[in-house]
Amino acid sequence: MSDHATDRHLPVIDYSGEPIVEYRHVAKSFGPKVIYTDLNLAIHQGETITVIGASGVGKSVMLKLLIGLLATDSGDILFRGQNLVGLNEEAYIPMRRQVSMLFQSAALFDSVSVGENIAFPLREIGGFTEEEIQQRVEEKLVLVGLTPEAARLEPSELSGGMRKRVGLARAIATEPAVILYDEPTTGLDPINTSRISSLIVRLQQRLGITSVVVTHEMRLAFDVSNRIAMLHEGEILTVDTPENIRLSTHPVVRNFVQGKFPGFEEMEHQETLP
Amino acid sequence: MSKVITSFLEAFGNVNLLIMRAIRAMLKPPYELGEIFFQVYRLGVESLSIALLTAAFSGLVITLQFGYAMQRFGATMYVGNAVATAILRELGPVLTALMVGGRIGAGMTAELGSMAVTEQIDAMRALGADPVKKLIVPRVVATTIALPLLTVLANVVGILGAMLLAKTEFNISFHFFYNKMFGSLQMADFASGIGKSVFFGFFIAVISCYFGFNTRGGTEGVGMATTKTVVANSINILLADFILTKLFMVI
Repeated sequence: MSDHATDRHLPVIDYSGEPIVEYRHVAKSFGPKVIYTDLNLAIHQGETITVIGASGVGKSVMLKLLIGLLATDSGDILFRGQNLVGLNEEAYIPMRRQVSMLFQSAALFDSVSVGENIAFPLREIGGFTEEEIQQRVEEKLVLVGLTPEAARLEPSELSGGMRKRVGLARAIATEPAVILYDEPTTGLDPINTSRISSLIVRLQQRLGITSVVVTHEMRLAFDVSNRIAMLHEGEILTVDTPENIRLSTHPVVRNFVQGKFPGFEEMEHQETLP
Repeated sequence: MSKVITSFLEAFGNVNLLIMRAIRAMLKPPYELGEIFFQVYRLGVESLSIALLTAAFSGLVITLQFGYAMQRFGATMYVGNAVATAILRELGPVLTALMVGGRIGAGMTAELGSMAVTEQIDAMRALGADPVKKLIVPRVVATTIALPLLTVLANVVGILGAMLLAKTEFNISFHFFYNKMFGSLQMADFASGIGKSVFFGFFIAVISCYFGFNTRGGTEGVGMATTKTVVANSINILLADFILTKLFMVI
């Protein structure tokens, strides 16, 4: 597994500039359930950052706050220096043309074909001719490794991996600057998992897209990330390169990366007792 | 008890907010005329058989009841007036709304609810579209148009049923029934029934869309939301019927 890091050829990121996305002191609760107490994270132009953390810790909520599907309780979220907090639904629209999201379930519209799913954001923006739309649809399908003929299929005819790839094609149809991946490989077999991770890397290399990936799969995190952020108990515990995360001595990070639950070592020890 | 009242008031407030958002989205171009036309067609055609069947049988039954009741006073020949008034003012609009509301309301909630639990509504928002405009407005406009149209047809079929029964059971000729009926009916009888069905259609769609949009908790949630919609729609129709009838009488 150690040679993944050398295989990746990820672009070098300039961390000196202004971040493209920034979370500042964000707090969020759902009723009595506190998700974030003080969330801070800066995401830089062109990088792929992966947010890891246990299930239910609020990884997906980070993405939904950014794209405005949920509202923060307090704190600021900045996109290219503009504060998104308090914007109404309409004011979010220009930002949503630059930031798109791949949903966990792919969230394809069942009532229309694959092609119309990918065309949907283009029709929303307007200003494209029918020919341009069809050309974009084909181009994006090819980019995610599907044939242009797939445009005619219905979403119900697709396998899980194909749904994710069509969802990705729809997300990149408007050629956004930032893509948010919500658990992109959950429920996929190993072949489809590596296909998705190579797509994430390819989009970064070719189009310079900034990616925020939310996952609990360490393999994916190590494969695609410039940096990995660990979310724990309502805060970002640490942000570091995959190499440093792998070597981290922090007990929470180490247990998560190695897939051990707290107290694992003591139990292992007990079991070896005569 | 206080929890029930709070949740009712919350739903009431949210439905009103949804109505305001829907009206605002409705007035803003582009108007999704194609989608509205498609929905009118779909709702109308899908509900036609159940609406007409209900109307035919209620026309038959009400004539039978009125006929025998009026026979005691020797007033059977006036059955046409009584039955037609009852159908146009109450039975046509209310039974059509209850039957069609149950059918299309449940369908709407199930469809939108499935979209909500599979993140399709979130995806629509994330792709820069307004789901209220895309999904709710066409359904509200379409139901508001389709239900009165169905009610008109239901009225006609209900009265035809009544005429048929009056002929076979009480030996009242079609011609006599027809003349008696139109001798006493006023435009207000027809208009108040259709006026009510416009409101019924509007509220059926708003309530069904509201429960659909707010569905949580997977497929089980879709089932629960659908049940709630049918109950809420039925109660709302009965309640609104009383209020609207009273209101139309004042006007």
